Amino acid sequence: MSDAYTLLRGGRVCDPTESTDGGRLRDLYLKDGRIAATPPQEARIGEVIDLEGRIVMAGAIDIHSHIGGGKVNLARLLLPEEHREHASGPDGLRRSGSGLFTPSSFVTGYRYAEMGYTAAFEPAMLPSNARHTHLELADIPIIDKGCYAVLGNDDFLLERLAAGATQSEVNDYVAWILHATQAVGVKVVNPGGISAFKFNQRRLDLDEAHPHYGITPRRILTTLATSLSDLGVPHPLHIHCNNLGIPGNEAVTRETIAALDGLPAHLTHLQFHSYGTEGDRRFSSAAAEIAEAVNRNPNISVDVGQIIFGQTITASADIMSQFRNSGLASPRKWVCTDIECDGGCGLVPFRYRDKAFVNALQWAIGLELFLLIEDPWRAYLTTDHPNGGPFTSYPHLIRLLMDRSFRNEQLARINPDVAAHSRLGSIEREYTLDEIAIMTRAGPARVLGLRDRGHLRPGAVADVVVYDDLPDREAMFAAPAWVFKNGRPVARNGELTATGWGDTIVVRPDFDPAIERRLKPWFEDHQTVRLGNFRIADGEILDHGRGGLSIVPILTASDPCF
Amino acid sequence: MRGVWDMDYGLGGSDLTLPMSDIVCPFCAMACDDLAIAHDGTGQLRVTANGCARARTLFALPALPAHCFIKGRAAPLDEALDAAAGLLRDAVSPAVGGLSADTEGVSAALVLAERLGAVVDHAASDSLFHGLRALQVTGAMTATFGEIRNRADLFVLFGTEFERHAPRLFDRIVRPPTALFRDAGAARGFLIGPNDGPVPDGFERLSADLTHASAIAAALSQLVAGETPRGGRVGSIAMEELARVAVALREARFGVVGWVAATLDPAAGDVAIEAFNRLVVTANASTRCAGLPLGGKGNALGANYVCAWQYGVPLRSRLGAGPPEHDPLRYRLKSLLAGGEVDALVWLSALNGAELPDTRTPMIVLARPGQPLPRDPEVLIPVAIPGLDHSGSIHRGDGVAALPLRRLRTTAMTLPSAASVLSALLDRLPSSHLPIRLRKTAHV
Repeated sequence: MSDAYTLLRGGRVCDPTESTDGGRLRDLYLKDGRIAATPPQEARIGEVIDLEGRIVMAGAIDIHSHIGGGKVNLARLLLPEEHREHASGPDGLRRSGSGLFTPSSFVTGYRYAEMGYTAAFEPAMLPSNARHTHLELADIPIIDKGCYAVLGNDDFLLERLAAGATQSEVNDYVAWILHATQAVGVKVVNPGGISAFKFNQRRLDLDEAHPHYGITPRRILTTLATSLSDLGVPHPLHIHCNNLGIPGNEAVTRETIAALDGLPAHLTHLQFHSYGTEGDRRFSSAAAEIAEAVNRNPNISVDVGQIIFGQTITASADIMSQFRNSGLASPRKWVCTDIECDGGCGLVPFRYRDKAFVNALQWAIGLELFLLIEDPWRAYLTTDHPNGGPFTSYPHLIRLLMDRSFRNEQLARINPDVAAHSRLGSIEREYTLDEIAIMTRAGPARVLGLRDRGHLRPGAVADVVVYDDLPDREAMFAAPAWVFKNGRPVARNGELTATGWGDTIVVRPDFDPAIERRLKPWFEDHQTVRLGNFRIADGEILDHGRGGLSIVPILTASDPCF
Repeated sequence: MRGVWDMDYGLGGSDLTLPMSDIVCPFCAMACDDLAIAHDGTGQLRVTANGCARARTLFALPALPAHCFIKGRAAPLDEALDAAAGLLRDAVSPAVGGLSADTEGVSAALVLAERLGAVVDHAASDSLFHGLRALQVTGAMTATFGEIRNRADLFVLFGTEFERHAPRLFDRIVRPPTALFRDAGAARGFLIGPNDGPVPDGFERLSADLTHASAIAAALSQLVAGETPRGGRVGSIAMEELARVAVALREARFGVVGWVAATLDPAAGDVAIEAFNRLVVTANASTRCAGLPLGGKGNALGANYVCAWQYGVPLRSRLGAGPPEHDPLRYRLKSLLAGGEVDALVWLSALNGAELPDTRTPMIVLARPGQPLPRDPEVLIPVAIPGLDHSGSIHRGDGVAALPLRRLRTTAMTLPSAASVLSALLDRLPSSHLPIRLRKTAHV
């Protein structure tokens, strides 16, 4: 503890939880890693930094970014060429590392911090891979991180649902998983489909019965969404819909929204699920229809999963989709793995080309979604890193959203059929700074239940980013003037100046531990890891001395939520 | 009242209470986690249930109060560390090898290598790199132990001495006591390899020299795809026999093509694994099938994983001399040592499988008790055994599960962990290196 305040003087503070007037001049006081209220006259002010009207925002939060765990690491091993091309040596501050779209752990932390991101969430942690995932995340410096446990294709849940388990039993299991895997949310990936693929089924629609269990994806979805709601977990079910990437999948996406029937839910990488079947090529944008469905359902939040032209790798638990797409691998090598009666993993390297009709249309669909979904509180900025492109392309994406003429210049360069037919060119909307602050900070914080992040009111964690107000928004967001993590300066003009360790963010709803009486024999009879070895103890995260555990409070009846 | 929570969140770094059950064995890539262990109070551990012969031997290693040695002369730890630092400070082309350790031990070894500008490699990396080089050419289609246990109704296994390389494979995975989606006791399959040892029930041996494994797998791919390979035999197996294997793979609901990389042709193991992968992918056109790499010890896969996530590159890389530089041929440590291209070697052997290399290269050895030493190294520092003497984690050979290791004994004079010795060594080295700018990478 220190008795001195750090004063950030004369910045235009852009905190949409306070006001949305584009940033008002306000001094910010930092103390003991938190934002402090204006101190009394006699208080001791340590460092004073004059911001001279620069834009000040809370640290940015990436709600969906594949930054670590088994499949990300396998992707690194699959592509030595990427790591040969993009590599850096040690410089006394930074450890060496490599990679652009599958950066090594240290580089991941450095790049995020240099861009003003102070938290990122690994969205696809298979429970069976949880320990590995946390070991990797322990080596990502500076930023806070958290994981969503993947459920909905695990044989325990499917078997219990088929056997007629009560909602309360499922709730106990979901809560147990959140505790045991040190997760902050639950994601469902192609509900039922990953498991169905193991029974040699190659596609599964929302109301199609699972080939072994006879239950439908609809049942899995609604049961899990209800669980999280019942348990009071702030982040609602994080949904990767069925039929990713298939023309016409917009129907299943809209049916999914309808099936949720008002239950809170987050639809992730929506771009990959907004495809129609119109036109000569039977592949068209359904962004308008999907955006309308999102606009009409305030229980739904989304992240977009924008694609960025260039080389990347797609990494997903959705082995059913990834196997279907494996022929598109570029370079021609790919990985699919069936995992532990738990889930799957598919890695398909991919190059998005601006002159290719399909890729150009995907690009346009993503931007249409951003621009047609009206409420920035419910639509978050992602590229589904690395699936649509690397997180380092966020500044470019922000410029596409904020600068219509820039966007239309880019539109003119892509496949001419797409450029000619897309409605993108006619959309006039330009995101404001307030809206960017919402979709990259306040919105993700709210939907994750992070009460002391994503804003700059007194008591907030002092994750603060200061930008030069440049007309080129890409340059502005690529290299913030200052980045503070927990009140400490960590980057200056887009270059790292200090390093450290962030927290692991988890959630711990109450539940009836009697569920372990059912789980223990399941682990012994059907798994290859015992229950006691599956659970991750706090000490396994804390004993490294690398950041703490931050527990997200459970929602209560009086909390506002979706 | 609900919410009574009985998980012991504090367990990670502390001792396990008695009775000691569900203990993880760190001594091979099967990473069995169902062992029962007893101890006699003096630090002597005994496997009382579920261990293989290797586990029974290695868990029984004594927790000896051991000295450090400098050129064969007993010395205190500080002095040994000073001598080691002196050796490394003058090294021009150092290497950090062995890497038979838990996650933290490996991490600390990599940090040291990065400081030194050293090449890193694992003692058992030849087998590892057969698979890795195949992965980097064709990719892979695999399944993990738990999936296979419950689902696989046919096994086509290439290799030999399965019980030695993958102990308890048959008991735990091929013929487990229970399975969800198949008849657990009635596993069937083919063993393709030299004619040695008994053939398990339900299995059939197709005798072949494993140098022909890639040709056999390629012919199988053709047969599975409905094509007719030329010739009457492949690698001494009659085509009609292979045709039966192909029919079995097509008719299986979930077939498995497995292999023990260590028993493949040392000169072309990667080519064989590429062929296995193509066979698996071919079979998946109509049914389900998965690859299953077997074997490995000394947490080799885990060491490679840690290197991959921390640096973005596999082992057989040079760290710290500029950006990480990976070259699976040039930075094979055995070749570098044979060519006299290393002038100081740090050898880490906290687990098993890291026999000291036969070299005159000056060596700093961090070894577990019981490690055979063919000669006195320049510096010898005994270290504790992860999972017996301290907590930690290792990776299982199927790649998905990292398993917790716990301290099972405390003795009056506990040896230091490899990680703590390596970081003490790091503290004695200058934090030199010219600053190298992070290379700018343009947005795509």
